[in-house]
Amino acid sequence: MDEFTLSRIFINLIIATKWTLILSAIAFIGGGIVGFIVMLMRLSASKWLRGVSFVYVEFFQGTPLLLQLFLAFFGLSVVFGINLSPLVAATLALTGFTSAFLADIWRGSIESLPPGQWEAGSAIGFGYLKQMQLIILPQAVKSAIAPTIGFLVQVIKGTSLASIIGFTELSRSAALINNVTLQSLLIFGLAGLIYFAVCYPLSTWSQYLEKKLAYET
Amino acid sequence: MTNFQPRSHSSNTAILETKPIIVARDVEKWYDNGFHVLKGVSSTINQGEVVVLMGPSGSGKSTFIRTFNGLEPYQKGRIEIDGTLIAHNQKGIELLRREVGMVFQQFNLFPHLTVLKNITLGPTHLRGLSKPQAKANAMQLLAKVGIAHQANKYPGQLSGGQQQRVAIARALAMQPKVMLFDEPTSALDPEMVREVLDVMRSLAESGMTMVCVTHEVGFAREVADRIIFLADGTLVADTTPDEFFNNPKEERLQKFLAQILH
Repeated sequence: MDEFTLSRIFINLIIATKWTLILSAIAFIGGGIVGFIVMLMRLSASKWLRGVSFVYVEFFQGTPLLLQLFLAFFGLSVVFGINLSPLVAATLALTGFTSAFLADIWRGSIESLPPGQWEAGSAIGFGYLKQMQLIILPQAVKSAIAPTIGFLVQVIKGTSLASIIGFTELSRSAALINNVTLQSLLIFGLAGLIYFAVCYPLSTWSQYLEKKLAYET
Repeated sequence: MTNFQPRSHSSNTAILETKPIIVARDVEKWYDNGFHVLKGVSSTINQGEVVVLMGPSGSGKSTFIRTFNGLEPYQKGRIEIDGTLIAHNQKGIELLRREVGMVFQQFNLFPHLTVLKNITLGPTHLRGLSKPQAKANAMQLLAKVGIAHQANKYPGQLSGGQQQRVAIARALAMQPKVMLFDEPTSALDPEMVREVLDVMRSLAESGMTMVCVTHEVGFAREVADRIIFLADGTLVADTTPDEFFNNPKEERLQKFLAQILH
């Protein structure tokens, strides 16, 4: 049997980190797209659209991500009679989770703008979409960018839960290596350091942007 | 410093044209909390007229002016702008709003755009002007309001008076048929009121149709053709500045004048 040297452990963890990053990127891109649509629905004039998006956001914010992963992995296979791969199930659950929080962060940024910005746009003769595009979103992006990056950190750490449904990312890879080597402190310590090395710069960046953008307005 | 195209017009000469631009008939409005803010207000504003709306706070004057471009919905009555019915959330209201310029108490400039872009945004996107055309027009307007040298600054870098003059230029850039001013000097430091009123005065002299909610007695007295007095959501008086200040008939108006003229 192959010996698990420190360097081999490390290389394996780094390879697994690739999947953590891919899953995070999928969650963030999917969550960003869906979250933007949900945000527009939350701000819509239609009661019906607001209601649907409200329930959506409350569901994903009010239940644990772990449970959402179980529902996507085990629940959907019962409903549709198909077995979803761990990657597909994790994509669905993480997209839902991420979109619900991003929709709320972005809605907050938009609603924090003075109503006079909408009125000035209306008074000139802009319709809803043009106001969004030219006046509201460019300003809202400024206040949304720091909390959005801050939430990205939560998503990266959240992907570790996908290990429970058998998706081999950094956490599951660490657990598997540990099963063989039983060097728990070393392996989970290394995994923790890798998470930290990915997340800490993002946190710092987010704090920096928060200060910088707040100062300029 | 301010200089719009002059046209024979002053508060003392008779209005030559009497084409109605804004016609409000029995306008009634309730706020969501049930408060009856406009109780059947009627008025007609003709082309070239400068009309000042005065009244105590809570009289509904700001609400009334905001119904003219559909920013405030009303529940009963009828408002026509240049012959077209205006109603809140109505399809095509954006087209009507292009013809009605509005200046707000809080300026409401777009803080993420330069002064120049604030002014060219509407004309380039809604009037189909090319960027150089819109820019040339904007620079002309900025020269007229006396701040051409600030064109590339951001609103946050300007004083309140300068911001309000930019806001006036932004509204004018759409070449509106009528300009609405909703307490344009109320948020300004006292020493900046004059520069904004000077721009409005010169705009009035150029023949622009204007409706102004304002507490500026001097402006109302010297520039307005008519003063409309609202109290408790009702139109109490609609008369010339001379009658308004020197020979007020209505008791409610007399009380108001006694308070504001000290």
